[in-house]
Amino acid sequence: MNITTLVPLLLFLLLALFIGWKSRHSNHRQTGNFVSEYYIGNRTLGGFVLAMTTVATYGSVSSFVGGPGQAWNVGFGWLYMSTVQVTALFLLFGLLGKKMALVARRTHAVTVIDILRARYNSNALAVTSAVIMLVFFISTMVAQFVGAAKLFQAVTGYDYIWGLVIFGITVIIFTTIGGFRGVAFTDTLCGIVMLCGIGVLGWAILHAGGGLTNIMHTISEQDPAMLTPTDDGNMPYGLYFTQWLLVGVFTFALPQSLVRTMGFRDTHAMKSAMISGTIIIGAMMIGVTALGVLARGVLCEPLSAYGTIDNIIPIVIVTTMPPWLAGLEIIGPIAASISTVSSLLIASSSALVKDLWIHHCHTKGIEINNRRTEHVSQYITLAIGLIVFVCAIAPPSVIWKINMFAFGGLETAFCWVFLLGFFWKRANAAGALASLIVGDSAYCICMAAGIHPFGLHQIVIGLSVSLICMVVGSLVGKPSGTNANQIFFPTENSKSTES
Amino acid sequence: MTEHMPKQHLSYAQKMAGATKEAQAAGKGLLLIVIIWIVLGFGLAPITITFFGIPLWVWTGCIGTWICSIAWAVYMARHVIDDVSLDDNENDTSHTHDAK
Repeated sequence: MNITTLVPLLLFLLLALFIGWKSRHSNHRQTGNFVSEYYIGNRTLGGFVLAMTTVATYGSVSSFVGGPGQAWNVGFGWLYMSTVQVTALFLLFGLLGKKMALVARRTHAVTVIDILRARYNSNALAVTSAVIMLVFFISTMVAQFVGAAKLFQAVTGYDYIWGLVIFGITVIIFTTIGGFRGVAFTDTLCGIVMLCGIGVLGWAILHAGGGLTNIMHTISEQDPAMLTPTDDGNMPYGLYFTQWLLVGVFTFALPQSLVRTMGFRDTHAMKSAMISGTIIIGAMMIGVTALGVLARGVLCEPLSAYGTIDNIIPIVIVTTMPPWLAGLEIIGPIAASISTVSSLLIASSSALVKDLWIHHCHTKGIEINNRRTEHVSQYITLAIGLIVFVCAIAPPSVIWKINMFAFGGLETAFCWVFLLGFFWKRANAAGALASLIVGDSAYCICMAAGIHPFGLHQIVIGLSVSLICMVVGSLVGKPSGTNANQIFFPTENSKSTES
Repeated sequence: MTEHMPKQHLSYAQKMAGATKEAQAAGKGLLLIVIIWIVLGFGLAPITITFFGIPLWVWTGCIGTWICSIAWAVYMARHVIDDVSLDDNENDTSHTHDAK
């Protein structure tokens, strides 16, 4: 591929850097404290940006490569399964959005762990949460870098490492300088580019396959089972059930999604994001997965002819598009990768700086001024980014499977801790800590040992153990203090005692 | 921003209680969407009608479920979730947790 075909990608990355730089400029004009600005953008996100940053963070390079590849393999059943993601936005904002926003303002919380501290008043829980987040976030970021760099190599023919350098360094720089606000705005850009990428790829596939009717004729001739929800047993009902849990119902518990409920400016923005986000997530997830199915009308050989399912989309791009258009198309999946990485990077930095370092300093009575906080925050963001970058240069072979594993791990850890924390007064630190540690351990052990209870995904074990631990621990342990109750379960009486 | 602010003053406790009711609507919405997804997908799968070669159940189970989700989000935004001031107007600083 001619180097000029990389110009659109380079322009896109320059634009992302410019947005990060502008956000930094905007950050510096704010009069509030640096931590609040850097890690939550002073809670000023409007509806559209909120929707885009939530969806773009959620949609990753796996959504562009792994999902459509599977859809190519098993057909419309996979598309039907991907539809379960459309509830994610109204669940996130509807279930916890307003409560998180109210509590965050009342407790001046900047991170989701600040909320957990306010609810459970447990340093052990906060530290464990921060460690779990860091482990899953960092491994997901590495997986995102690896996925996007492999796609870059497959489509452009340039070295893996060049792709990694070009977009890896860009995302680390714009996140470091732009903070949460920069991440939200670049996510918006990425979301738009992802949707455009889906549109362009859709056009290319339809064009190469001779139109929708022709493509469908090819599929029904070759493999009619692809037109059924079960694909001759390749899509068992158990898979549908666990995907509802993993990418449907419990995505509201992902910390990278939850932190966005603390960043919007008012309830109007939240409601607007709930509607536009549901539209966008459907267009993106149903759209991109549908392309995988339709690609079957273009790539008609058996899977062995193409290697693995992860090769399908890169091969589709290369075979259906002229090089200049492929150079444009590659921006979509790379945008999906960097929008996820940037959000996880700023969240990882907040876990280390805000939840661990600043809290430690306050506990020890060490004074930290705004300028020092600013330097440390940015250096830590940069350092985590560079660690991820170095890991992605020579990644472990299983890294590609990390994305869904991390989804399950984070959901197992935080689902009941947040849900029952907000809706069950009896939930306490003992239950939360047990839920977090035992639930996630059970999930990871089952994953490592390949244990599938009744043929279901390990998330079922993780969530069940986590729930049992939360309930038993809460019933056995000491109830939460009145301070937490006044914040999370206020009554008019408690209000009058506060005033 | 200000045009969306509620005219009526609500206490923090009232806002939290309202949010609990709104969360129940989100839960009911989830249940409804799961049922719609099953009925429009698995339920209509035996029907052999196609549009542009794509079976009816795909259109209804995927696009139909998506449209129903959007409709539920619109319903919640317009009729369930109240616009309230998120700022803590009770002038209470006793719950501050290492804000800086």
